[in-house]
Amino acid sequence: MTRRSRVLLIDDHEMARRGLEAMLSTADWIEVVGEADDCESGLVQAERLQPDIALLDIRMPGVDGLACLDRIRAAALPVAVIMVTLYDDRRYVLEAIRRGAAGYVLKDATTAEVIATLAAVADGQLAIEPQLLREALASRDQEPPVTGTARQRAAAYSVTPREHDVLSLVADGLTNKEIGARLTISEDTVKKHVQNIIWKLRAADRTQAAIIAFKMGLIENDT
Amino acid sequence: MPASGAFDPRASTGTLNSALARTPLACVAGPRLAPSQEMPVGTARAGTGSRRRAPVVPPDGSRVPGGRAAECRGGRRSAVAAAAERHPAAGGSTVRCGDRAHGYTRVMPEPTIERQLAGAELWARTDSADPQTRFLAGWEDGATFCAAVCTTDLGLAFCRSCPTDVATRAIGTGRPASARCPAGVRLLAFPAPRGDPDRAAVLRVAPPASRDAVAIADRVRVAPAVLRRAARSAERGDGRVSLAAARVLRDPRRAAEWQVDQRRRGADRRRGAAAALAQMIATSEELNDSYRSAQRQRTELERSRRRLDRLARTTLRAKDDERARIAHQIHDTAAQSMVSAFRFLEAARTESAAGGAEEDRRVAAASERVVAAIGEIRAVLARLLPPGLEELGLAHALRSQLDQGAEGNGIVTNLAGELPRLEPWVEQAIYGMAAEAISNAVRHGLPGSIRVGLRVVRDRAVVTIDDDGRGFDSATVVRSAGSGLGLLGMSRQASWLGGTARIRSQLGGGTHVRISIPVTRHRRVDVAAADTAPAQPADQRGTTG
Repeated sequence: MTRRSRVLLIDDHEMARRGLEAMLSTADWIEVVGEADDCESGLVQAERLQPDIALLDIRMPGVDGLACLDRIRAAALPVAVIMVTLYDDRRYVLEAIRRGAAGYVLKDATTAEVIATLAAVADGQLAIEPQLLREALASRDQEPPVTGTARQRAAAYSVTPREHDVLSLVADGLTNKEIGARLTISEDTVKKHVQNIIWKLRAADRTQAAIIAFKMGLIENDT
Repeated sequence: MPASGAFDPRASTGTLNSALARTPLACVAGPRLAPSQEMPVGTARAGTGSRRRAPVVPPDGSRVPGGRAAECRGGRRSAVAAAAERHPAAGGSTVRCGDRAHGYTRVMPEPTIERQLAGAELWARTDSADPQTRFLAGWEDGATFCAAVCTTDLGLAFCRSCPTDVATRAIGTGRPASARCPAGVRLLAFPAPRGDPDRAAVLRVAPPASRDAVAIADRVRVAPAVLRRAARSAERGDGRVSLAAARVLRDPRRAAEWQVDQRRRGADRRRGAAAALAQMIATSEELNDSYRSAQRQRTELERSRRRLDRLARTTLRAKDDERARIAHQIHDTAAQSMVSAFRFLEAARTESAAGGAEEDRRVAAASERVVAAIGEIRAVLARLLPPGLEELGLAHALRSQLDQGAEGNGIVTNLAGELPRLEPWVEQAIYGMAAEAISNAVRHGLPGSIRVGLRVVRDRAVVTIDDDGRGFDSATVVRSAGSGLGLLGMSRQASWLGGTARIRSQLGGGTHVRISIPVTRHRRVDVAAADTAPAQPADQRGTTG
C-alpha cells in the first residue's frame, strides 16, 4: 500500500456519497478526489481528474450504472471501475464484470470489505471472487452460438430469415427504397422489417443495428 | 254392415296423407261447399253425428275432428255415398244425423274409397294426333304426388316422380294399364270416364314395400326411417275398394263431381299449406327474434368482457407501474439513507478501533442493526421489482430466478434466447408469470433440469418453461390456489395482456408452460437501447421511423 489511490465517487445520492467518503477516509492511502451525481458529470470528472478508481452506483436515474460503465469503457478512460450495488444479485454482478468492471461492492459491505476491494483493484487485480469470475466466463456460453450460419446466430435474437435479408442489406448501407427494390417488397414493408430489427437487436437506429449485427456476427462479413 | 258412425282413428293418422287428415272430410256433394269444409283448417270440431274419439293429431300439430261426418246439405247424395251404397263390400254406411234440428242425412263412407279417390288422377290426351297426355285433374288439382309418401313433419315434401306413361298407355290401348312408381306404389290406369277415348284415370291401388319407399328419401328429403314407417303403416291395397273407386271414376257424372271435389280439396290443401307456411314463417320470425336477442346479449356480454379485460389490463399496468414506482422510491430514499447511515456508522466503528483501541460496541451494534434493515429493505424491493429486470431485461431477471431455484437443488438450468425490450409493466407481468412457472417447477416438480426459452414469434413474445419433473394431472391442480399467481392466475394474467398461458403436464411427463403475449403495442425502443451504447451517428436517411 505504498502508493495513493485517487478515487472518484459516482452516485446520485449525496448522503450515500458522504457515507462512502467517511468510510474511505479511514484508509489513509485512499484519496477521494471527486464526486459526481450522474453519469454525464462522472465522465467529465473522470476525464479531468484522471482518477485511478471510480466507484459507480449501479442504479441511478437517467443513465444507469451499467450503461455508464459502457460509456466509460467506450471513452477508453484509464480508470478501474468498481460497481456499487444494493442487490446481491449474481447475474447483475456478472453483467457488470462482462462489461468490464474491475470489481463490485455491496452497499452494506463493511469498511474492511470495501477497503479490501479497493486495495485489490488498486493493485491491478480483479476484485471478484474466483467462483463468480468462472461463472461470468461460463455464462458466455449462453451467448448466441459462435458456430452455425449468420442466419442461425440471428435467429437467437428472434430475427427472422426475411428480416435477416433486410438486415444484410441495411449493413450494406442501402436505403429502404433500394432494399425494397432488391427484395421486391414495398418500402413500407421494409420499414416495418427495419423497425423490427432495431427493436429485436435493442439498437437505437439502423446504423447501430448494423454495427451490432457485425459485432455479433449476425451477418457475413463478405456480403 | 255395422251401422257404426265410428271412425277408425288409425285410418286417418296420416298413414296416407296428412293433407287428407287435415282437410275435414266432406260429403262429396257437388259444387256447394259443405259447412265442414268452410271450417278453417286445423279447427277441431267433432262431427255432430259421430261419437268423439281420441283426437287425431296430424303431424303439423293441428287438430282434426275425431270422427268425420260427411254432411250433406240439401239432401244431395254424394258420389262416394252412392258408391258406398252400391258396393257394400267396399264398406259404406249411412247413418241418420244425430242433430234432429237439421235432420240431414249423414253419410259415412269408409275412408278407403275416399282416399282411393283422393289419390286418383285424371289424364287426358293433349290432342288426338299426339300420343302425349296431360294431367287434367286429381290430387291437389294439378300437382301429382304420391299420397303414400308425402307425409312429412311439414307436409310439404313432394316426390313428383310419378310415371306418366301409364295413363298414356291406358288411353292408347283403351285398356287398363299398371305401373309402379319409383317409391313402389302400384298405379292402375284405365280409360275413364266411360265412353271418353281421350281420358284415363289413375288410381293408387297398393302402397309400396317399405324398402321401396326408402328409394325416394333423398328426393322428398324425408328421413328413410319415416318413409319406412309410413309405408309399413299404410293400409294394404284392397281390390274391391279400388274397384269401387274405379266405378266412380268410370261414371261420367260422378267423375265430374269427383273432379270438382278434388279441385276444392286442392284449394283446401293449399290453404292449409299456406296456413302452415304462415305458421312456420311466424315461428321462424320468432326464432329469429330470439336468436337476434341472444346475439345481442352475447355481443353485450362480449363487450363487457372486453371492458373487463381492458380494466384488468389497466389495473395490471397500474399495479406494476405502482410497484416499480414504490420500489424506486424506497430504493432512492429510505434505502440510500440507510446505506448512508450505515457507512457513517462503519466509518465511526473503524475509527474507534484505530490505534489498537477496542472498537465502540454501541456503534458496532447500531451498524449491524442497520445492515439487517438494509437486508430487509432489499428483500422488499426484490419482491416489488425483480433486481435487474429494468436495467437488463427479462432474460437477465429470469436467469437470476433460475439460479436461485437451482441453487442447492442440483437442477440443471438453461436459458436460451432473448427478448427485445418491452414496456416496463409488460416485462414485469411476463416476469411474474414466468417466475411463477419456474418456482412451481422447483417447488413441486423435483426436476433434473429446467429449460427456459425466450423468443419473438411474429408479433408475440413467447416464453417457454419446460421441466422434466414429476408433472401433474392438469385437471386436479389448475384450480387449486396456492401462493403466488397459481396456474389459473397465470393464464388469467396472460389473457389480460391479450395473450395466452398454456400449461401442459402429465404425471411423470414433466411440465411445459408456454406464455405468449402480443407485444406490438408494448415495444420499447428508446430508453435502454439508446443508453447502452455510445451515441451513433444519426441515420442520415431518416428511414428508421
